[in-house]
Amino acid sequence: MPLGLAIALFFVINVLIPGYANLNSLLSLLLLSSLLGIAAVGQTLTIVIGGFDLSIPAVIGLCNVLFSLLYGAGWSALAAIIFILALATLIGLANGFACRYLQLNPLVVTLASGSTIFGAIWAGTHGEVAGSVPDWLVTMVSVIGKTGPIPLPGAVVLWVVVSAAILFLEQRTVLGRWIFAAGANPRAAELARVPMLFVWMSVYGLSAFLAGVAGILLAGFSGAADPTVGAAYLFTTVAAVVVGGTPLTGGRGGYGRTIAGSLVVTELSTLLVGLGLDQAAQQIFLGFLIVALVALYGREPHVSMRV
Amino acid sequence: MDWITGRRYAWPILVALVIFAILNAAASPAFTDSGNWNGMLIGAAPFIITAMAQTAVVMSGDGGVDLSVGPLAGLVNALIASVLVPHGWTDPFSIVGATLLVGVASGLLNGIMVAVVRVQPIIATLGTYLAYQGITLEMMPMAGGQAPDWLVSLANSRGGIPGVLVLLVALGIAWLAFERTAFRRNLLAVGGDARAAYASGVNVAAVRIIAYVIGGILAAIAGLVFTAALGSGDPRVGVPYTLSSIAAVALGGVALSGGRGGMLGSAAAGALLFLIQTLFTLAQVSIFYIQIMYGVILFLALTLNAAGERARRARMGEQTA
Amino acid sequence: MSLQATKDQLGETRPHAAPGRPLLEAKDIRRTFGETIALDSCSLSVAPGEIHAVVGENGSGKSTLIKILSGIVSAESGRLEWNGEPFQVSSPRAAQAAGIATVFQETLILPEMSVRDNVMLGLDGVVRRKTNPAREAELVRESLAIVGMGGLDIEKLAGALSLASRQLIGVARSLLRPWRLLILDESTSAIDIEDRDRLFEALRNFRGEGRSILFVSHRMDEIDSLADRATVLRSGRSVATLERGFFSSEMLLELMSSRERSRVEKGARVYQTRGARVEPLVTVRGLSVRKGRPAFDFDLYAGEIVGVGGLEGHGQVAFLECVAGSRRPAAGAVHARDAQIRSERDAARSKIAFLPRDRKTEGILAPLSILDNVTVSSLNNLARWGVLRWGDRNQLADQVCRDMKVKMADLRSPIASLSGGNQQKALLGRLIATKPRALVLNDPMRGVDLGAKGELYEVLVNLAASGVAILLLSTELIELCLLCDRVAVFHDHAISAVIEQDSLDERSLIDAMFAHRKSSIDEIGSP
Repeated sequence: MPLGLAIALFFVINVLIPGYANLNSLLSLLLLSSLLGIAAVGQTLTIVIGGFDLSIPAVIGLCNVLFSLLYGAGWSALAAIIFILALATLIGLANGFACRYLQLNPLVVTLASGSTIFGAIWAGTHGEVAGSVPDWLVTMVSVIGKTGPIPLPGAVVLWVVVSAAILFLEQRTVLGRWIFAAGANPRAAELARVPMLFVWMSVYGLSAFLAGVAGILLAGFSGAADPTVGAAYLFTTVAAVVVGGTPLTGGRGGYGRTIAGSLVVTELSTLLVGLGLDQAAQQIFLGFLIVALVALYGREPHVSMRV
Repeated sequence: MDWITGRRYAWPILVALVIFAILNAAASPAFTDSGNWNGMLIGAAPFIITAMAQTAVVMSGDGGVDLSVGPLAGLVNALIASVLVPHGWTDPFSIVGATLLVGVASGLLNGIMVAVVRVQPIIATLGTYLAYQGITLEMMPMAGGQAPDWLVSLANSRGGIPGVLVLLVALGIAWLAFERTAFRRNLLAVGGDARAAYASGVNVAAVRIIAYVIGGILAAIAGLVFTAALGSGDPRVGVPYTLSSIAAVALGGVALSGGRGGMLGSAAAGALLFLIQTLFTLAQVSIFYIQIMYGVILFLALTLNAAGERARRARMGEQTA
Repeated sequence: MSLQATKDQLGETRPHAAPGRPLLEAKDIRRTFGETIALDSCSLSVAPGEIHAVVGENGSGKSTLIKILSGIVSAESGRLEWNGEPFQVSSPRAAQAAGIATVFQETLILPEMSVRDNVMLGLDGVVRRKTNPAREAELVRESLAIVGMGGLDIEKLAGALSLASRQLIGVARSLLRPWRLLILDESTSAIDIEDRDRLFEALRNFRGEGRSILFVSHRMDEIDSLADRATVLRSGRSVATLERGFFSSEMLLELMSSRERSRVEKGARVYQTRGARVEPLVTVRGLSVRKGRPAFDFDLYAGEIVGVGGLEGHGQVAFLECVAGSRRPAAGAVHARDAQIRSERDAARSKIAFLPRDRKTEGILAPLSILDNVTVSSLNNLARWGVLRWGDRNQLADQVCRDMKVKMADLRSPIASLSGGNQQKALLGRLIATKPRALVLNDPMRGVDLGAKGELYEVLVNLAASGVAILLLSTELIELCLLCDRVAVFHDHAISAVIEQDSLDERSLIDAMFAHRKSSIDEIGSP
């Protein structure tokens, strides 16, 4: 259903904004959706397992800034990427550990780690960010970029590869089935001998890893480093998951739906921008949208059902 | 004294509060200067009041949380500075009336979404968080505006008694009175085990809605208070109070899953957070590190909170096998 | 009079009308949940000043009927009349306002609140208190006195009390309402004999005052002792209502189950005594499930079915959890061959599989498919380098479901689409897929209808025959008698008796459950 919605929306935008239907706009749409889509993998999986990851914006910002800094300081791109992604993964593993082993509320844990990371960025950079990014990265996220023989920007191709990998993980691997079990009923999963700590740490580790990838890609996008570049991704990733139709109760849905959700959310943003709404107004709109969707098909059962 | 012994959950935080007060006094002799107290109180007040707002909501259980606490306070601030005052509605009735109205409306909105429509609290209040922030930025994209004189003067002492202190005491008394009603029992029951409360005949939805309304009113009052302190409007001041209110609740011995705790602990924790921030400023630590500090404190608070929960549950579980 | 003669006399089933206008009348109540028909055509009438029993097997619709009368769930069709007037119950609050107070099967007591708050819960308005604190304390103490807890410190936190005390507090809470009909839904499962007798005495007094009691129970001794009339439910329908003197345990059992029961007994009768016990699979030495309680030893051998019984909350679940590695004993140790069992991982490694009691909250992964649910514990064996071997997985699930006789449409259907009995079979299948050496089962027949029960009995018996050791906790005495080699009965957190096959019957089990204290019922005779 959401995929149909995505396609339908495309035509709606077409109508509302004259001159929209050209190759450039389509590529731009795909590009923006790719960035959101990659960032939303983590949000999807953490929601499936029954938590949230509110530290995604912070990790995006961190990796964004670090990449420009390190590359600008003379590190090779490869070394920088490896280091940054390793760091991001470690943060994710720590989040997962805190949520599961220490039994802390995932919402608040990731809120806390996100806040700490932001603080660390500000403290480390003293509010000044400088650095540079390699040209090939800029091409990857540019609308006119191509990936070898494929007439699509590198980021989009990357998204396709990541999507395939995640879908495979969900359906065909032991870890994937464990993730769904853990989200469906944590206590039952634990009793069914699912290694809960391993699963939680893997999910959050993966989430932070991909947030890091998104952060690095975004460095190519804006050309300069910006710690707050990830801020918008807090509610857009949640929106992408919710719009896609993955229930917040866990154990159901999955990344396939988020792919469609990312497309829809990106289209909506484009539509809103095209209609003249500024960032603030977009935020209001997205807020209402998330609530409305959850109210439609994600409601909690009435307490009488639990007696 | 009975009301202290009856609130054992708050002891650790009260002790911590005293320790930090001492540390602050040691770091700067000006701390104990009575002239300074007013400034201290008005700085601490929003922390305390937003903590109280969050407490009511968290206690209602089933994932109860109010992310919109900070943005609502900010919204009130923007409303006063950029709408009410420029349009000439500067008298106390209008200002306070508008504040309370906004608080109640927000509480009803959040409460109905959670209790009637049955959207998860984090999503419902994430929606209002975004909405209020957006509205605030629309009303007042830049800092500016002017708060009414009588409000600013409240931030100063009158006859040796800080206006803010009167407010805090008034809130404290109001809450104590409210606690003597059946509401406290109902709130604890709904937060602790909603189906047990429901099967026993408690109106679970009504109790939850009231909890969110209390949260809304208190958050709005917090906005009023820092408007008095600032003297003007600033769209970015409100948002951080969401995080601090949650940290205060976790620190204050309130169970994040609901059904345990109360206002005393979180109010003290709010004050504690303020003292910690002051300490950092006095020690001339860069403001950037304060963000890190918040994260770490929140993390520690959560760990202690969760460890306490686990110990209690283990002890209770002993009885039913 | 003979069983047959009584049945002839009854003829067609019809509610046996009591003289005068009934207090509560339910006619042809129907309620479905999705595909499941919980109540088909259920009729019941309760007269003023009557104690009326509701009897039925799992799946007969008892709990749905109680939920409808208590305002938790609404009836889809049928009529409800209270005092002759048509009557809608929209919420528990409304039911209480009308004069119906219910004590639910689940002990709905809040451990973090005081006894006083627990008893008063729901009586106040949302904000306004029902009465001032002093009067409140009086009322609470009065109510507690009726159930024999008059001396309790009402400010104490309820979490510090035993399960039995909490059940009684639940009763006290309901008694405080201005009720004319008190509904007790199996609410005496943990209560020891003196308290139970006292409660029954109180109920008889209430009856004398003209109030009525509706109680659900599967304990025949309780029904014999208390009920004026008994209504039997079977498969969602009310099958018969019998007057006192016209019913006996055998009669009621017969009405509850008819032909299905023989299938159950057939399933269990395949069972034969095992050969000589060789080496124990699981040894328990010096185990105490609670501090201060006497320690005991226990051995579990391959190929035997050992029963565990007792009043609820007397330590038997703790014992099971110690064997399964979910709980650390207060003293002593559990060993499987040479490995000590100290955690769930140890148990898994020693091939001890555990089936939890509450399948809804601890067993099924509701949103997932039957395939997922059955294979979830065996995934590592079905994969290479973390990637699942698709064919193997499907094959295993298929095999297991066939062995368990799970009635389903397709492996990929959600497990929530199965009936309760089939879900339980699937869960047992999940355990068996891991090829366990020992099975620890916490009340596996709970909420399972009779047909599925018979099939499950057969499965367990076959498993034992193939050498698996089974530790089975059950709250149904008949089941323990049918299936088990021997039964360990718990009382007050220690083994009160181990009853061997040759002396295993309901009487000996009841005696051990109450630690051989005599009930006043036996002495006085039926009132």
